[in-house]
Amino acid sequence: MLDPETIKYLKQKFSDYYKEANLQHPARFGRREFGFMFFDRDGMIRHLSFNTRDEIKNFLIENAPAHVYHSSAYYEKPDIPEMDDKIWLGADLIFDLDADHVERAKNLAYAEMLAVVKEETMKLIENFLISDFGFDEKYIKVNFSGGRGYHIHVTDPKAQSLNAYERREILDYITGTGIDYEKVFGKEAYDVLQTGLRRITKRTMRMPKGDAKGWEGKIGRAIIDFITSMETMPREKIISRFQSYGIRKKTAEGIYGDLFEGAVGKRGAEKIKTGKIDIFSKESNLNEFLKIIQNQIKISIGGETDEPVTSDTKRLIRLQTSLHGKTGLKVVGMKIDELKKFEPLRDAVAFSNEPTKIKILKLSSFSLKNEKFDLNEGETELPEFAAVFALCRGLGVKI
Amino acid sequence: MDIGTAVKYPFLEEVVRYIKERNLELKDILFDPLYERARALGKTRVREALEYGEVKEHDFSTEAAQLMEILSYPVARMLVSCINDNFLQRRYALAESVRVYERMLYESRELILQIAQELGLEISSKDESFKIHFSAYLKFSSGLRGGDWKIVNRALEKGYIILNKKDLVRLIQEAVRIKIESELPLKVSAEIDKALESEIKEIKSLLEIRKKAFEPKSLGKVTILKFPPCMRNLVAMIESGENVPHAGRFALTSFLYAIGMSRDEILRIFSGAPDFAEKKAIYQIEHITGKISSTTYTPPECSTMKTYGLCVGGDALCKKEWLTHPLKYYRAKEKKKI
Repeated sequence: MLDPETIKYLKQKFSDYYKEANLQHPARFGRREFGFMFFDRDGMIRHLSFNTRDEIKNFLIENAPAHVYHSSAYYEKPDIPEMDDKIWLGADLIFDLDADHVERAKNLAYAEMLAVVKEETMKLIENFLISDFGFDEKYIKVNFSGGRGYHIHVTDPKAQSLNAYERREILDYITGTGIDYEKVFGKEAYDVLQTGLRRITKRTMRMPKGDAKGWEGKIGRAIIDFITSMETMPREKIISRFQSYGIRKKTAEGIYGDLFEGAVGKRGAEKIKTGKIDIFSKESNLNEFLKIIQNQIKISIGGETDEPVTSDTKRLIRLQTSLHGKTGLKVVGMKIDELKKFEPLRDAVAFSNEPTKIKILKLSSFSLKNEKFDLNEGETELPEFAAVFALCRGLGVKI
Repeated sequence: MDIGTAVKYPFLEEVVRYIKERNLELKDILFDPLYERARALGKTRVREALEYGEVKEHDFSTEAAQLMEILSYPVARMLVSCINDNFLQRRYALAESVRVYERMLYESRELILQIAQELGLEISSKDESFKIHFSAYLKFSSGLRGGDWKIVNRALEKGYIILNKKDLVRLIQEAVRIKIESELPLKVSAEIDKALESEIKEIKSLLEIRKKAFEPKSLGKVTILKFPPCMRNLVAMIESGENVPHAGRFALTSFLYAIGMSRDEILRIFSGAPDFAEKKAIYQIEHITGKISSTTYTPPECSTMKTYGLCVGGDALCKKEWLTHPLKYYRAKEKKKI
């Protein structure tokens, strides 16, 4: 827990913010459960509900919570502590993309990490939610979490009454879980040998058509795109690219050979373009290649919990326009086209430039609002937004 | 729709109207000697459901036979409601739905669409196939979980899944099963109980015989306590007559075999399933346990169980880092001799 002086300061700042903030409320907020976490106590307070916007606003101003959540679901009686007695009426469809679970975002600096997660978020919306599930843009809202990622809220009425299994199915679709590759690469006869009375039908796997629907089409297109992008690269670069996906050197060399070695016109890559996929010398080469392809397409979403956010029909998620207690940044809600131009470390800043004195406890550096802050131990003066950020992250204390 | 067609699908609104139009009342159907045949057929429906897992083809080529067939359906429902046994209800609903499936495969596109709409499946025609909104698909395929039916293996575009006739009819079967199950038990009176006294007695004794014959007595309390929560749940589902989807049966069968149960003992456990058909179950068990193809399938690991929605959320032992397989759970419990 933070020290008393810092807590006092942060609570004041957060309270001031909530006084002026233009709070956005989820639809039917009277039917939602609210939860809060605080700077000065452990644990979460849940099972609260509010009837009017003023009630919410006043609570936030008075209590200055560090984190503000509401249920994705709406209930007949949101404030009853027993989950089953609340009487579930329906829930928005939620996706939580967090830097911890996006493979490519690991080990990146904060700003780069957020950029990668934003790309993944847009990919999820465009390639899955809109094109495959057919959700209308007007039903899709994105929140920057204020921390390490984005949340997507789908409010389409058709999605409201989906149960946990059904939401899990949607999640499995976007993560490519359970793909039947035999179906994707359907076995087709390509040659029939007649020797005397015996007929031998040779079967091969065929490339899925790029205009097929669902994952079949996605895989077909991804294979062609992938090969095309590699075609002009030198051998070493291609092999190390394969290795960057976690493939062992020997296998990477094997895959390269299968795809790009041989007489021009007879190479694996060319055969693939004519519809054959049976060009790999080893099954393990094919499997590893398919793993790369699947990784290009799927959304890296997921966690170590038993109940992923999406399939949990009783989840608590952050309130749009609230503040994130570990950064002091805003949970910014936006539509898809706003997301394109959104830059979290610039657009989610809630506080002013007012000079603020704090004492830094450890060497640290971060970027906010296009300004770089390199901090040494000891007293320093920072613009308010940077001071709040540093204090929330425990990098310093208020003096 | 002509009555000759509607009689094949007794759950349709048409059929209800047909009965009303003839000013037939419940007491007529229950007591009037004129409808003796309908009562006998009603009992036959339930008996067939119990013994074969499907309502068989009956003859209704004459108008008189049609009427008896139509009336046999409400009789069967009342019979099942009087007995009020969970397993019987599920078994009966399934049996009626299987008969619907067998018949609908041969019907025209127009009729299929019409019946689908009435059952609440929003389907439309698309060239030679059909299309259904993914939310409706998910709703009606929930009992079919795993493999082919997962939407990740389906042609999904702009919210709609393209289905061929066979798959659509399979969904219709599910819709019928769910509908009938949800309507049972009907409210019955002492009068109805009395009228169907002998039929109730007969079905009840058949039910008892069945339950006794397949009592899983070898599954002692001690053994089942060593099962991981997922497997315990699957056993419980079967014992309470719930329909366990294919992936669940596969997981349970391969698990039970791996811990040393014999094929007979495994068969006993599955006999509680509402769609239990002995020959088919024997075949499936033998296939999974390697008797037929000499491939013994290993039971799925925890992550696979989660994908198929079979993990019920683990207990403390499940949450251990090394616990990645239901068999590891069982072996851990064996060692500790808990």
